[in-house]
Amino acid sequence: MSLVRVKIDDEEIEVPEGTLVITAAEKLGKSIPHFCYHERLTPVAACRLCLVEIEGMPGLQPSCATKVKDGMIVRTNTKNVLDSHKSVLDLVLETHPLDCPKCEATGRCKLEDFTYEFGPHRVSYYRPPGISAYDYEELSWSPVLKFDPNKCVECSRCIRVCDEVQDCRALVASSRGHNWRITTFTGGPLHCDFCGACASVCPTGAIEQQPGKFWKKDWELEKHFVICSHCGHGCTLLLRGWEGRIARIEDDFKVGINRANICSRGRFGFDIISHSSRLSKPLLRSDGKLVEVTWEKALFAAMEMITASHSVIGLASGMLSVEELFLFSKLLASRNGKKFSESRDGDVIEFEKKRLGRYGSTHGFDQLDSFESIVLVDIPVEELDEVLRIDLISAAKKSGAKLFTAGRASFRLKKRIAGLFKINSQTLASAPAKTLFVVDTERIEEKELSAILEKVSSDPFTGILFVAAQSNSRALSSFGFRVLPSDEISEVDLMIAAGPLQMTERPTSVKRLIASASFRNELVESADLVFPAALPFEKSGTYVNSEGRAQYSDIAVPMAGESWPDAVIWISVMKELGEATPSTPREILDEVRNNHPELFERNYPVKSSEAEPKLPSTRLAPPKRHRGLLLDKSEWLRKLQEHLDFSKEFSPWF
Amino acid sequence: MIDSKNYAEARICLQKVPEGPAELEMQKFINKREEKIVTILKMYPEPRPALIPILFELQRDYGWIPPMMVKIVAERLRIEPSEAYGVATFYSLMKTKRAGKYVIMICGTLSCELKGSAEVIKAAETALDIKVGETTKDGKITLKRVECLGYCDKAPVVQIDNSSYCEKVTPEDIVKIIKRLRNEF
Amino acid sequence: MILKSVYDGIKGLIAGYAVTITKFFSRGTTVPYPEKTPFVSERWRGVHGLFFTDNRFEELCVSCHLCAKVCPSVCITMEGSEDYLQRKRLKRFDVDLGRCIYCGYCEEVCPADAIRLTTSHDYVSRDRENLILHKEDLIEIGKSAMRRGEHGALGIRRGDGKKVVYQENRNLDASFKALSGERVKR
Repeated sequence: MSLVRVKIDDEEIEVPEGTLVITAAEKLGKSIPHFCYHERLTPVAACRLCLVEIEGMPGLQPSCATKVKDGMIVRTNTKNVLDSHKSVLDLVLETHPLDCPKCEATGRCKLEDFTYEFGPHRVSYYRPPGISAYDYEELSWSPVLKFDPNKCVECSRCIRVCDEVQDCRALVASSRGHNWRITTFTGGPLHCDFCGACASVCPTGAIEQQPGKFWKKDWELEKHFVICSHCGHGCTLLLRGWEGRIARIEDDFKVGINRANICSRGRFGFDIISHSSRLSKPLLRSDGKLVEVTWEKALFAAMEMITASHSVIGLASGMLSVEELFLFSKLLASRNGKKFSESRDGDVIEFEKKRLGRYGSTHGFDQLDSFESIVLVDIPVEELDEVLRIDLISAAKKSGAKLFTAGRASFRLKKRIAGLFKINSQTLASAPAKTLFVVDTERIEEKELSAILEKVSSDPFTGILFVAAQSNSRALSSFGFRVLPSDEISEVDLMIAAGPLQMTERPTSVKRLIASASFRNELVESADLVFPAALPFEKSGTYVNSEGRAQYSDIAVPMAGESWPDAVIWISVMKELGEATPSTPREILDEVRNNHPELFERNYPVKSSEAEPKLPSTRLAPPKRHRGLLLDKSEWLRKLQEHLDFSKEFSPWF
Repeated sequence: MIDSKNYAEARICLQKVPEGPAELEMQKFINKREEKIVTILKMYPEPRPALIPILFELQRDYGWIPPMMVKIVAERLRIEPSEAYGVATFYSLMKTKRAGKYVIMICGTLSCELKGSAEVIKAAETALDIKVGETTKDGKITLKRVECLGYCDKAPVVQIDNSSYCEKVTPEDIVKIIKRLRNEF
Repeated sequence: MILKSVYDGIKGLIAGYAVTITKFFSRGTTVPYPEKTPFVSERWRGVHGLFFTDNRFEELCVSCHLCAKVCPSVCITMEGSEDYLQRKRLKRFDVDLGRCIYCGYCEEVCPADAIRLTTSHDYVSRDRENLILHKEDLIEIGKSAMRRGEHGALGIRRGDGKKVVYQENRNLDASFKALSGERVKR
């Protein structure tokens, strides 16, 4: 793309052709006020706040809808322009309640910022203070989102993000003229997934998140970038909290692979860390009952159990980090234990390695728009990876990639799907060259997979993307964890279960069970020794996502109770057993890097392992307990949609 | 931070029982007019643009457009109900609320406002003994203040139903118009 | 010469004792503090109180966090929450008197006139923990100040929205009297 030279306020800049004037000005560090313009959305030029003077054009032009041309001379600071900013802001403030101290959005409100910078410091249209021009009722659209029509500046960002990015259209504009309002169908509750994108793009406090409302001001909250652990996509979340508690989760367009897209689980499922059923102390079975014991006692008991047993098996969860899986596999290797996991991911990747000689997905999420057609192989995308659905839609819109489905159709992608695709050797042979196969590792059958892999190996333009079920299940195959056979495990003396598992009851053939878990569940109740484990925001670690990208997640909040990260637990157990083990995070990571370089192949510099990894050493005070939301999305959404009262105790998923 | 209380007391905007008939009743009503809908659908290459003519057609028979009608039609045309709702509320000719036999629409946008439409509205209010947006007790006349009718050079403008435009209306005129409408009925 | 010096000595002695004796029988300047409450001006910047509406029923604070923001010694910690009417209300409010420099900025910045500096000044503790006042303590202090008819160091009255002008003369008289040794009862 050719570059053009633009002159903005006597400063020259070279930008690619087709850039908007406002973007070029932003690159020069000029601030042009805007409401309706957003970098992710199509320009509509609705708010008329970003008007600038362009030489040769009559009047003032909206900079958010004007593209640069070679030799264009733009002025953003003449009296005419500044007066227009002032008068538009004056008109906006005329209908806006001036109760900023009481508003949740203070500190991040665009209207507040622009009024401070450009605006009239005294409103010309008199209204009694604190009373808005309209007296609309504040609406709770859902348990997590509320809408105050009085504070709306009618920029229609929320409508566009709902339509263009999320492909949901739950929000629309109703009426016209003076009565123009953002509304849901008949003004009732929202019928959507509650992804919270509308609240994230709202320039004022009109759409707000309900959790953490009014707790702290924006300037008081800390910022932490963490990796989401709810699915295999590996989104970067911007966690806002204070004193180890989380107020809300925001998105950042510039950081992470998810391009500011976060699903409802990632955005609102954070208070799982303060769930009432969190374990806070090690539990040891004595006289048939689980009793709270100290860590020293628990580690000693673990040592006794492990040394006394002849056959050991380990069951690891795909939600543990790379370092933790490595240490766990090291512990099992020292006792000649077999390694199992609940996820099929390890087996599928191993299968691929045998057939193709390569490891994991061939293409990443950012390469979706380079394909002409994308085949979804029996995969319910929105259930498994909501952000992938958004990526697929943007690829379909951007480059015209056609979506095909093989097997189960995704409900929310229904409108975008061009046709059915039956997978067999004939259809694959005649399939177009630039095709990406999106495969669910838990559901794919061997016959289909081998046919697809054959196609991928023969055609360099064809790709395969394995969608991992859990945040780190891609790393399971590197450490040799295979899926637990469904038939009875032969007599085992000891089973060690690490991380959150879906298994609800202890296998009958297992004599003893050691578990590390974060929540009290049926498996924990049947265990002989339980270690309380920290959850992802509370510990650091590297996670490998569906596309095979290793990302480092840092500590954001203190650990609950006396829980330890799994890495610390397995190091302590190994030390108790007298095994040699790397003890500092840097040592662990270096050893993993040396032994399993395939995990770090696709290592983009996205706040990844460049940062110094650390394990928490100090014991901080436990955060206050709150009832949390469920992690299981379908269950959670069902409850939300039915508007059940939240006083009922949920059954925890863990 | 998040209190359990916050969730327990999270008041979702009260599911206002949408005004109008139940889904089954509406479905029956629409099924009877299947032929008309099919003929409208045939006029367009894709179902989406048929939304407005179908809603007008159904409004003519039913009198107004209840939310359930919007929902059923939207599902038929494979668009989101909320999108169809936005379209239905956009046009002042589509009555999304229960209305009387005649609808007096008085323009309240800039030109008409400057030319004194507020006084016309006031006069209409006193003549009908109702307020803007209400219907008279006998269900004959609804008074509405609408956005621009696109006839600014003859402001203030009053439109009665989908048919007649009245130009340069004075408060005396509107009283006469209301009298005539009452006599006609 | 000797007589002269003796005379001078006795004269000085008598003059000296005269001052001592007159002071002995006159009223003292110092205030015996724990037994007697000293006078403080109505504008005294003492311990903070959280004030209520005139009917003493509802808190004035809207939890805007401005006092915490403006505080130069960072002694205010606050948290807000939503009350049963979905309004923004105070949940936690801590003032660390060990850090406070009594500048009165918090009172000046408050848009709701909720936090005001009262005249109460006698707060001592053997424990630093006790110097951190919580919301309940501040409400107690505010209520007792309201009972005494105080309006804070800036003299703001909430009811009619007007500023209370302290009677300068009365205050001046009182302070002069206090200085000149006359004890003033509050």
